[in-house]
Amino acid sequence: MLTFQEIISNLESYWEEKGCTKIQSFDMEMGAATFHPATVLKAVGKKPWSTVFVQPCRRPSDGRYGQNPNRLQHYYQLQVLIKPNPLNSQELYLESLSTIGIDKKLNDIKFIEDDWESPTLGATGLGWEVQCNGMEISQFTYFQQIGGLECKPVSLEITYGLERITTFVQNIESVYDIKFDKSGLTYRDIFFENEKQMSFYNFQYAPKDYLYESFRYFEKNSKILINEKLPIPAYEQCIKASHAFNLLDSRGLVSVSERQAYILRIRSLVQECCKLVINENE
Amino acid sequence: MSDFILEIYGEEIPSSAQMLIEKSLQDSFNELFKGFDIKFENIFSYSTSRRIVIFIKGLSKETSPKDKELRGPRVDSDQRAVSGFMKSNNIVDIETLDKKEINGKFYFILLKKTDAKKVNVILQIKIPEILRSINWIKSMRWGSNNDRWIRPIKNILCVFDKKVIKFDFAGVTSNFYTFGNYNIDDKKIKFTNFQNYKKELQKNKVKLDRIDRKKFIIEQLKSFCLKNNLKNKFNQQLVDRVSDSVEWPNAFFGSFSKDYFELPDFLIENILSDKQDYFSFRDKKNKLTNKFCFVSNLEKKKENQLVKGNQNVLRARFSDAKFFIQEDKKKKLHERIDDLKNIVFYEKVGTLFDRSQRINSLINHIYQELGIKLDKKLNNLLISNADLTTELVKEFPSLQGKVGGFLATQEGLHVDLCAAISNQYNYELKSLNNNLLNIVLSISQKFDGIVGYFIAKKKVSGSGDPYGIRRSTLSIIKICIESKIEINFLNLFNYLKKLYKSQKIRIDLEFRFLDDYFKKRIMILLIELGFRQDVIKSSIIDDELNPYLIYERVLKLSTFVNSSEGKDFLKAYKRIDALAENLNNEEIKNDMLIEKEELNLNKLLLEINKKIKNKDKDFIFNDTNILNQITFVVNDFFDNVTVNVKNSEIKKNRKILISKFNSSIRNLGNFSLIETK
Repeated sequence: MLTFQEIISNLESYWEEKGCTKIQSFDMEMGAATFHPATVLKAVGKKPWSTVFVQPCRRPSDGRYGQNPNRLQHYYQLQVLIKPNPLNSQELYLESLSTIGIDKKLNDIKFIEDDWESPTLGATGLGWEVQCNGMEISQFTYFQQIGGLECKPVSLEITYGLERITTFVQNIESVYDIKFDKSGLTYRDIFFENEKQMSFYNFQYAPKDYLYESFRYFEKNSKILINEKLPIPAYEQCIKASHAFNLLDSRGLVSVSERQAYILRIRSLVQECCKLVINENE
Repeated sequence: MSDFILEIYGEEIPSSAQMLIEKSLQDSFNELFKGFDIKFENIFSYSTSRRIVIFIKGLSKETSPKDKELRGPRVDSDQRAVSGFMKSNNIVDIETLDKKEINGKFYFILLKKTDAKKVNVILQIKIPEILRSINWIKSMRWGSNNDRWIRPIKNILCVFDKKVIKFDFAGVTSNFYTFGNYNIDDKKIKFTNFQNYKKELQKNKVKLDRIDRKKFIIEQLKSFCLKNNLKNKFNQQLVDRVSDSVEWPNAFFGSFSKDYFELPDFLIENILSDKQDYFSFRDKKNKLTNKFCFVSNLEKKKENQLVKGNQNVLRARFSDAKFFIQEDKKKKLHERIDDLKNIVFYEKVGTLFDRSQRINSLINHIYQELGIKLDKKLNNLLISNADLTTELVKEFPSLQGKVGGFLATQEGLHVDLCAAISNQYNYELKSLNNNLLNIVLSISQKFDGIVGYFIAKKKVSGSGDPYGIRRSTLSIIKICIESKIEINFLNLFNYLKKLYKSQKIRIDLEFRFLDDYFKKRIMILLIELGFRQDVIKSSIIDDELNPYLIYERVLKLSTFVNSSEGKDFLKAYKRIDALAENLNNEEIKNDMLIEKEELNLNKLLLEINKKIKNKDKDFIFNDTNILNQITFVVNDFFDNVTVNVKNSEIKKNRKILISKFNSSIRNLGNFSLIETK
């Protein structure tokens, strides 16, 4: 049976063979691998780009104190980005599944309409949620816009939910039972306590005043950097602002109308960063 | 004549888009053939999760050649005009021109023959244009291409008269081939003719026809029900959705642990059908069973693995739901009311807390208007939308209301209150008429939603209804009519206005607008129900907006205008209406009433006024005798009395009599709007 680490390494090797550059995860808290600069900032503009990487993700409000079998506030995504998307994108994806023991002829792989949108990034894409025997295992998206700008050419983004996929491959019901590697360690051994304590932090102790303050600070800083034509550090400030916003949200401190305003503030900054990147490259 | 096929094959097409694309293509081809005058026998379209197909039977190979008459100068015009016309049309001999009389003048006519055009050439140029001109609701680009389609295209088959119509679209060149079901074996299939094409697809696990796929699914469901003694009733929308999500619909059956029956039925069914696209089953006693069905392209070979996988997913979903319920139960509904302060209703229209206060007041106000006392046990309505703060509603937004009703039941609240909370968002309440609170909560909640929407300066336009405002409006009107609830909406508007003002919410909305908006919706509904527009119009009275009363009047008036007595009355009434002036404030001088017929009319007027004073406004519909009497007296008056006599005082007195009579009749109904033949 494939371990969590083997699944990662098989998928990475497969995509490397298909010409993707393997890079490492980004060292900032982010809600999804899409936030990684190697996704957002590389998907804009004309330059071809292919990459594969694993990204730890944090969604503070998905914390369940370790009590839910498949909801986590910290988890891993394996991300593939290919620009322009290859003509046989779907076949390549299905082939990648066979490297981790998921055969399309033996399992019911369904592509369910799921048009993707990240309001914070001003990004939209069309594609599917991929289900394997009823379970969502990936998100398969053709980017149409990033930072509010049309993607030309179009990038293909495939996001594998690694914990979900592993529970399927290992035929278990809870992510905590995942066999992490050959040593016999489980996901529970490594992450259970983390989930529990971080849920307390996300829901009860994340400091309100600091979060409000830091959001404003990151926003201000990003604007300064945009003025200085430094889109990369400016975008990093957006990632930080976005996480501060997510924590405010999990603390229940953001009302519906405020939420929209916060999202728009980050989005307009991301858009400026993307424009600068395009101008720099072309 | 020959057959034409166009098949666009690609990655999974969302089921919601398939029919729209079919229709758009059919329309475009029809238009093309009409424009070029190309004959064909029939046009068919098909779609599956992977392909859109247009098949045209008996398409002619050439356009019809046409004789066209070109009108030249008049026969008697000067020589230069004639020779100019001949020169520009390359004519040497004037004898080739015909002469024709048009409106009394003779003209030179040139008969021009347009050649028949080859249809394959037209198709080759026009098909890419058609594909590029689809009016998409949603579409995408992919790769480095600029063409748009619903999802990436992998292959285009396009054959007419046994030859490929060659063109490029979205980076794909059309050809002779198609593919089988790629989930099983995406075998390349060469197109020979349509019958063969369908047969080959079938052999390669593709049911091209939507009807065949649906039939196949339903057959499998039915036989399962028969075998397991289950009720034979399926979610039709789900059948449609599922049959469009596969090419070869094999049904698989599984079950879940009965332990999950601790979850409410509505939640189990929502998870099954909405989240997972599974069919649920009820037994003959209508009890939900633990069996479910899902549909897949795959063959039954690996049934166990597939079923087990789907069962696992369901288990995770159910345990998630169980977790949410456990969490949600930790805080009672009334403890959640304060949390509503954190959720904005519409920008600048307050929070959901403000909304629940208004709904609560509005309900009490309606009860007062109806003259009914609201039971104390039920008067706990601030909790009506408290479920919007629960985890369950965050996860299952479509279950708002249902979740509140469930939690209220768990808290042991009054059964009528629980049902009212549960059903408040339903658009139809027909079967729940015995619970007045249900009706009143549903109306109040929707009223506040509509008024809030307009106060937030949002508009209802186009064909969409994203906030469900039109549906809500229609629902309120229908509920009032079906439940025979008599409420004057104008009073409700004014009351709501006061409530909004008391919450310091700024209102720029003209309430006249709401009046018109609702009247228009009532009109639309009643026209849909088959009533005459003039009858409806004349049943709507100023200063009152009471859908049930309007409906009642429309019913009565419809019967009335179709009866022979009614028709006679209307004819007589038109005579009055035609001469009536604005003389209501003048008094009739009795000593100037001379003729027998005018004395009779005056006597009748007094009688009618007496009835109106006694609030008997319906006598005209209920009492045929008095109706006939009115008709007779009015006709008798006009047949025998001259109004425009020389004596100006008598003339004026008669006009006053007519005007007053007219105004009294108007109190009974706006008959002047009724069209008489």
